[in-house]
Amino acid sequence: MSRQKVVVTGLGVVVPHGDDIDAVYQRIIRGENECGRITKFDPEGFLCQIGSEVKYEVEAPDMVGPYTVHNDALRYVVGAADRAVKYANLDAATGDEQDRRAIVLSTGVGPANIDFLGPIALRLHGEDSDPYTSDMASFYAQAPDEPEAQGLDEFHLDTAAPACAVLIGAAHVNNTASACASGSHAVADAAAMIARGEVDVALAGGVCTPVTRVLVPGFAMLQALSTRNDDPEHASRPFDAGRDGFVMGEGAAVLILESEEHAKARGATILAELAGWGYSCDAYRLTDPQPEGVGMALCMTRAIESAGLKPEDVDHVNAHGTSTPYNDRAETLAIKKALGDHAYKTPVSSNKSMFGHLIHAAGALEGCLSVKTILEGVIPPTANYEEADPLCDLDYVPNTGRPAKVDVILKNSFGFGGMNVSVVYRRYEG
Amino acid sequence: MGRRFIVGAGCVTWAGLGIEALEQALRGEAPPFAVESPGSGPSIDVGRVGPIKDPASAATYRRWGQVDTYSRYGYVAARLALEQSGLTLEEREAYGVFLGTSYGCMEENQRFDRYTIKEGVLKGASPLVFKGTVDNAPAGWIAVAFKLRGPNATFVSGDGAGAESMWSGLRQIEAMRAPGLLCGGVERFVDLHLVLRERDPDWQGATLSEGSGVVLVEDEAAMRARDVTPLAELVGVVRHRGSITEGLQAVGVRLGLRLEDVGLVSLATPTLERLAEERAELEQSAKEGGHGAALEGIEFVADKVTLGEFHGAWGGVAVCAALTRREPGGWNGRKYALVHVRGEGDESFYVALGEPVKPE
Repeated sequence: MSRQKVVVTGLGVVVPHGDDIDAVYQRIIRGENECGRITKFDPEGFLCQIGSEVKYEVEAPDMVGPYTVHNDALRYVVGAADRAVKYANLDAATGDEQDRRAIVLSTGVGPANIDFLGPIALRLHGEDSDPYTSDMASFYAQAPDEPEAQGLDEFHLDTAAPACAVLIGAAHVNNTASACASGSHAVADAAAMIARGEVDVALAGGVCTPVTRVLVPGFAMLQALSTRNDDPEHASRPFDAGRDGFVMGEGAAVLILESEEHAKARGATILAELAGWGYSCDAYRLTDPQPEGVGMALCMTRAIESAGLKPEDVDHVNAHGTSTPYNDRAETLAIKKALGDHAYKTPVSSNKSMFGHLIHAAGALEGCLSVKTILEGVIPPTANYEEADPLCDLDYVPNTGRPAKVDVILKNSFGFGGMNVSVVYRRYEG
Repeated sequence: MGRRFIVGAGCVTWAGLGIEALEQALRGEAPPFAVESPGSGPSIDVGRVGPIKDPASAATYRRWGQVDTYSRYGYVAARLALEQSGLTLEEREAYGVFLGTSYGCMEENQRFDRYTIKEGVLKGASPLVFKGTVDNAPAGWIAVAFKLRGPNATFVSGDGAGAESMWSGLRQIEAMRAPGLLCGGVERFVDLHLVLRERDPDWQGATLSEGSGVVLVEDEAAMRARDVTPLAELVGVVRHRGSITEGLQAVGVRLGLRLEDVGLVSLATPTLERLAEERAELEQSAKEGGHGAALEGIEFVADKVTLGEFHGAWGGVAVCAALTRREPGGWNGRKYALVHVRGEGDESFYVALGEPVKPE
């Protein structure tokens, strides 16, 4: 079976830095930061009190087909998808053509986690006197006639992918949840569907709204979050010697992928090629990466080989770069394993230094920025890089965006459970 | 293109651990469902599994004690499938894990939320509890415990998630990204649904059941090298929008199967009444199409009626159930079995199993 060439024709984001990918990229290459004290709930008393939030009114349709856009997460992802579809100048398919389109979304835990599950749990445990009982009552009062459909959708955002499917007229709907790797996982899976010739167009991306009273302290307990509460703008500092964890971020990011043939046939502007992808699993520990970066390196090597490239072809690594002590050290080792001596000549930067970690949306957002890097020729910096860590000894593009001709970018995403995904974006040569 | 085979199967249901327990349940020999009520609402049947203390699984992993209940469902099913496959530790290295779930870690989330709300997260909750609140925890634990370093993913595409794991897993094997993968689903959601059912008096679905069904799918070459006997061929997984009649026709076209060679069709139907309706629709459609005879000899089953509603785990459980229905020579003397799993929207998955002829 011949493999179809996969190209990127649309980008859309709703992230802390804004909802226009071109403007967001400009802010990123200037090193602008959006991390601050959490406003979505009162974090007083919590170990971690900082986050990267969407603080503006997001314009998105209130309804998409039969789906009501009824919470922040849906608004973010439908908004991002809407922008990507417009960016790609793509019409919704009808009839049999819908079978040639797919959605692959990474959807994290929805915003109702604390407002929905917690009160029900209290009820199951017979603790009706708890103050949250009133929240449960209000939920029930507001719930429509079909509580399962509405209530549980709040949890897993089950309507996000079908709603996005309406925007492009897609018949096939897929949801992944591979934790922090799943944004890139969605992109890779969508690309694979196109490459195999199963579909012509796919909308791929992710959404996450993890700045909640449950997830922030939960991740903090795992010692994954920065506790630099008095200096949030400098809290996310990947590869810096003083890093102490990541900053939780929220938002959504979407890419429109097409077969080259389909994109050309409709006269679309091709932004970049999605040339290869690789997967692996550390099989080491649930929450820690394998310290030597063996699984990460394997994943990168598979992605490079999948693109038909050699390590020395890689011009830039858009790192997972979470700002945790373990990840950044292991990723550095892994890059050196995968690229060999070429690693020392390759600029490596972490976008998370400016908007934190968008968990399920991270890989897609950083994929969008990778495409922009190829197009615009400025490598985003790693912000807040002040003191070198002897164990992280690569070129991390400290603090200032760097003009460079970039043809090939290796984008890494690694997640809870040891899941690793790498994606290769390449300049499109018609 | 090579063929792929199922070389191991495991499941965890209210009837017990393993496909033998599933087989007993299908024969009507399992213990009855539990009858539970969330409080003021009517009592309903549930197929609850609950905490698992499985010494055989505990012996496989020194951190078994840290594995949450949701993950244990998948873990035990995966262990059983791996053991049946005979894969050695060295051979497992490149194998992957693809699991599906619809509600995933609901109950662990409830526990964690309760800690957070009632007791204060800083003093009340354990990091181990939080680990269990992540959807892909089962796939992670399985990979870690059994050293499976191939592709690893969790799908959350509603009730079709378990079947989607097989659909996607097959493609990983075809692309030679792994010689084999554990595929299936895991689900734990009974408590939450008990509350919701109380408010849904019109609900007519199947009994709420939770658990896991996992199969090990392996490339023919890898299986041949290990000289093992497969349980079945995984001929393919077809996704189709539209009626079941159209879906079965699409399976025939896309996989090159003749309905005359199909001996079993397992429909994702929650009631016997609905099964009768769907069968009548199929027969009418086949008659109109001039191939009514093709349906004669096919056994239509609705295993959800007996086993319960597993949501995202259904794909894995239903395939395990179909495997237990195989007899020497195939299914009802025919070569193929089709397992129907409803996905999101009006999309369905059709998992096609073939008679487990050992490759020459």
